[in-house]
Amino acid sequence: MTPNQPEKKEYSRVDAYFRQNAEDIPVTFDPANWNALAAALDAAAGNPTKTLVHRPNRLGKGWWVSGIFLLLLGAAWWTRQGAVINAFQPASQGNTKTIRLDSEQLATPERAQPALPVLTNKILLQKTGLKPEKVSATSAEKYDLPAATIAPIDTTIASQNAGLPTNDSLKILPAKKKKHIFW
Amino acid sequence: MTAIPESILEGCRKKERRAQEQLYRHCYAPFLRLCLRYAECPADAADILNKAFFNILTKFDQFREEGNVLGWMKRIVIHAAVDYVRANRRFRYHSPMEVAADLPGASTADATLLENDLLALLRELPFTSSAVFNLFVVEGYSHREVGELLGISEANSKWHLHHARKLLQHKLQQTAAL
Repeated sequence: MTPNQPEKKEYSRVDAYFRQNAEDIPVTFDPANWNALAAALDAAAGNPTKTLVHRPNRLGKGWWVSGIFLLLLGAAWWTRQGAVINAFQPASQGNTKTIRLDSEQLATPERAQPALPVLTNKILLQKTGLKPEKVSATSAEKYDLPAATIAPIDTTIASQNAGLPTNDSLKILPAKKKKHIFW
Repeated sequence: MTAIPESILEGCRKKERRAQEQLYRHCYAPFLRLCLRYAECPADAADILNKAFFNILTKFDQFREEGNVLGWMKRIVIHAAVDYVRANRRFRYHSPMEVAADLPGASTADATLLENDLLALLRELPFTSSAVFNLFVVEGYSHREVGELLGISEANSKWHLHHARKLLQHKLQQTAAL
């Protein structure tokens, strides 16, 4: 006989005691319990669980076909309006509606950007103190234009000398990220 | 438990309230006893029973004819009781026997009555140990099944059974019930 056998025998007696007495627990019927259950059943029957409402799949074949059709329609309209062609043309033509400059200011070469500040002969001569004959002669030789109306070709250099902002310095730089300081 | 008449079963399949009440009354006593062994108090036992019967009566048409209807119902009641144990096993801090004995007006006779009560003995056990003892000894589940039901390992189930038996044996020897 192993040492655990008496303990197991005792345990089997515990089990037998509970198995026998488990069926002898006194119980009386309480109608309130049934009433509560009947109310729950009525509520469940009156409010059946919601059936899943069929919803068309937004990524279905019909949606793709109609989406492509709408895209093609939009592209056709866009082409008809000439917006695509205009988009590839120089910006100077497109921007003339919004920015108006005087004829004196527009006396610069054709490639000058009207959005940027233009140095006229008058301002340039005032700032640099150069003689008007000398400047206009250099510019007229290169551009084959009347010397009295043309602006100097080297406006950038001249404006740098005068301490004015140049076209390069007026370019929009990406905003610097704010440094968060943790104390 | 006696067999359930076919007329009651047929009425329950048609969801007739009268037949459902008859079934409830027929199975009330044995299933409430089962619930009382797992529950903390009679009110909780009635609650477990009603939850189980709600599932039984609403899913009665899902019962397959070849099986034993009483076994199917009992399984649902046990599962409801196990759900209760799993939800409440962390909240048993005081055993009713200790509380009753510590009351100022509690006499020795009252304490003896409580100790002799089988339910009081079961309620003195830790929740999980009590459930393992009931499932293994009274219901006849294996340790693997008990572990799956209660969400514990098989070895843990064995330990809980040993712990429950040891405590019950000690209590029964004290009361000289054995």
